[in-house]
Amino acid sequence: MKRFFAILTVLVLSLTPMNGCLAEGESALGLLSPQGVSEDELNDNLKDILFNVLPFSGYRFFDTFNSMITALNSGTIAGIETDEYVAGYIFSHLDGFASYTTDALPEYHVGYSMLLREEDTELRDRISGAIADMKADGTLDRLKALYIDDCIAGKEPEAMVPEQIDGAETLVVAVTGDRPPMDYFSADGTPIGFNTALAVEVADRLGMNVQFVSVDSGARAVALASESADVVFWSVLGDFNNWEKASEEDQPENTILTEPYLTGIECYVVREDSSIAAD
Amino acid sequence: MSLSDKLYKILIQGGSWKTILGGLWVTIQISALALVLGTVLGAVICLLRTRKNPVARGIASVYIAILRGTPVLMLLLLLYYGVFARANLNPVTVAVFTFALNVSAHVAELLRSALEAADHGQAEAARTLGFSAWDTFRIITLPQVLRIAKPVYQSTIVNLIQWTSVVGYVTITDLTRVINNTASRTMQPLLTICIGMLIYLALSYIVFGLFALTDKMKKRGGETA
Repeated sequence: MKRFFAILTVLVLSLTPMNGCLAEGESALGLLSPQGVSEDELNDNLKDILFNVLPFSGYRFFDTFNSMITALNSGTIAGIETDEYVAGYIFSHLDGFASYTTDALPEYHVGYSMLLREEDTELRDRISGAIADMKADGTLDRLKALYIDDCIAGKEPEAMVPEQIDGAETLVVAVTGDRPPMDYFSADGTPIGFNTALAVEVADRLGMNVQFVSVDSGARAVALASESADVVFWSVLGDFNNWEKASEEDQPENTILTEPYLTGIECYVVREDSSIAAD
Repeated sequence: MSLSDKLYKILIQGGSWKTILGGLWVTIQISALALVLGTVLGAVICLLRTRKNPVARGIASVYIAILRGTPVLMLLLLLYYGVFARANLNPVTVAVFTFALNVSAHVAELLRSALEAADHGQAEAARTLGFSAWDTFRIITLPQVLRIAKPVYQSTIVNLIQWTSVVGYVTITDLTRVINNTASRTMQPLLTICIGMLIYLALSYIVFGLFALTDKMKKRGGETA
């Protein structure tokens, strides 16, 4: 009898989060923790949007995209804030999710940039220059089509293989594997995605070798400061007609950003079975 | 998507099982090396801790107190991003060193408590009978210490394996990291994490099994002797 109850308890415990029956009544929004600022310092604008414009009951912060998706999957939260590319990846890989839009919401943009140490201004300018060239000659569009659009459409892209140049400087790029289709690991364990492809292309244009190190997304700023990596990927939210100003909010101290190589529309992915999707 | 489709995506597609095994191998390597190094270091610390010299004893006590009383992840971050940041060391080396330090404190304490639990009367009797100090330790005390320490040592090993799951913070792709990467790619975190837990569970049971095996072999050896 004892054994029967033990097995029953294990079954209940293991199945409860799986089918999302805890979801009822929970309608919080998942957000990625801002890395450079505390929750209290979040700007009032965001708080206003969260509490007055969006229909969510509250918000929860997550350190990694992965944990946020886990919470979304299990129904702990009703929706997440992300950008159009990640949302596309979610829609193409999971069933039961919808996009939430409201006219009351101002259109925000996410900008994808590279973050460097403050003293590396020269390297930053060279990278920004390479990005500008890539924008001009259509390379960025080609990479985006291959690594974002095709990937969302279900085609598994091939990872770009960096060329090794003898005697050249090495650009150490931190990847997190935590933001498909921008930055993730392919099934055979190689870093892949738009960000990595971009890093390979940039290094190639600068005549540098590229080396990827895998860093937890929460440890990106530390990795940069301790020189474990020269470049990390950083996304900033805001008004990209004036990107230098927009980036101030959650940028770690003693760092500089390159010009965004890609911008996307901020959007909300919600569970189809949640009260928010039903509205 | 059916369960078998999900499992196929997580475990098979594109050779992802090889990546998972690769991560498992990194976990095993770090655990095994840290265990060997930590056990040796722990024995030395235990030796210091049980000296009559108050300085040696003090140093060992502080060492044990600090390492047992702080999270190993903090130590790992401190060593990798702080102390050895400019040393250009392989992250796996730093991780092995960190976990060896942590395990050594635990091993030192478990050896000390086993030493205290061993029957002192027997050792005294042996000395009276003319055994040298070393022979007394080797023949009388050590077998008792090993027997008493064994169950705790076994759980120290299993704990160590689980603690190593934080090495993803210092650019190492271990089993936990591979599981997280796979979860992100496939967007199936719950199932992937369950698979990861099963692998850790299997690893722990292999350790328990090995210890049970040595017990059995000893018993058999005892019967024939």
